[in-house]
Amino acid sequence: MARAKKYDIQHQAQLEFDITPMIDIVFLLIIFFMCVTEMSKLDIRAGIQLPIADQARVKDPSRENMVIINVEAPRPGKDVPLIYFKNKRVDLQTLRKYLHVAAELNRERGSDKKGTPPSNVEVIIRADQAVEYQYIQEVMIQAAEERIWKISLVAKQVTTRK
Amino acid sequence: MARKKRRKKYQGKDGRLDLEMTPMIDVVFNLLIFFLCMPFRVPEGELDAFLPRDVGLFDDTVKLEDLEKVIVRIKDTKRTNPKVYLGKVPVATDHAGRPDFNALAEQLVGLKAKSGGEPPPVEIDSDPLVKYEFVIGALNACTKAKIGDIRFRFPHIDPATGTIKKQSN
Repeated sequence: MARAKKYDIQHQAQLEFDITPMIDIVFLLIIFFMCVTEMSKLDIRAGIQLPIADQARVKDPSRENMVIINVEAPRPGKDVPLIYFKNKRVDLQTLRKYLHVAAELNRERGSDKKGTPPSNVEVIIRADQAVEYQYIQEVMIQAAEERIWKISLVAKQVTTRK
Repeated sequence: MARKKRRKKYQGKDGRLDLEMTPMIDVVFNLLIFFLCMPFRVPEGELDAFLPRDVGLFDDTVKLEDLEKVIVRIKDTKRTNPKVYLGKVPVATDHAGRPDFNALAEQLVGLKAKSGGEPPPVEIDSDPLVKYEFVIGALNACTKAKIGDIRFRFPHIDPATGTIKKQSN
């Protein structure tokens, strides 16, 4: 009886809980979710080959009153590019509805001459360099019809050598 | 004595030395995630442009301001590279036949100097089938020439029928 008790005490003293791998995994998960959340917060689609412009300026990516529209190059064998609003694939009619909601929330007050007053929403277009301009033009027309007048076109900041 | 103790720590049940793989895998995963997400991303910038603010798409009146603006045309040639014109003057091309947007920027600076340093409003009028990268090239050239008022030409929408037709100059 006394012998068994002695064995139990010895055995308990040897048991150790190794928390090092757990900490490692927790750190990995933290880094992973930080990166993923940051990218999804910015509504960035990774597969877009942006055009190059050395004059493009970095702006605060989390500023207010802005909506990001991603335009991906057409998939192989297809002609029409894919348009994404808040990382959701949309057609032009749906895009118009979303833009309408965004524009209505930020309409200017008191500056109306006639009709709908302009909206202070800024539309940021992230489009693939291979997309035909007509599709970007369509997106711009949808914005213009909602009286959105601020547009920014995203490009890669690579300086050109002379 | 100390060496014996250390060896005992890394010895397996059969007495052989074990290589601890867990920390190595952890570090490799950390590095993998870091290099996937962070370092080689080229910074993204934005080029500003403005759509018609007070006139809207449905206004077809021509104002004096509209007559004075400079038009950059990008014409689709059904080949790889489009042709770019500043007004009616063609813009030079580089050795690969691509439009030289640095030359366009220089021409725009020249125009600005001619008009007494006051930057004229520039309108970009591109054919619909032109690739977006060339439109960005033209916009970049305008920004390089320090032109503040850059607009895009839209197809004209007939308010009665709602149909789209391109504006004539």
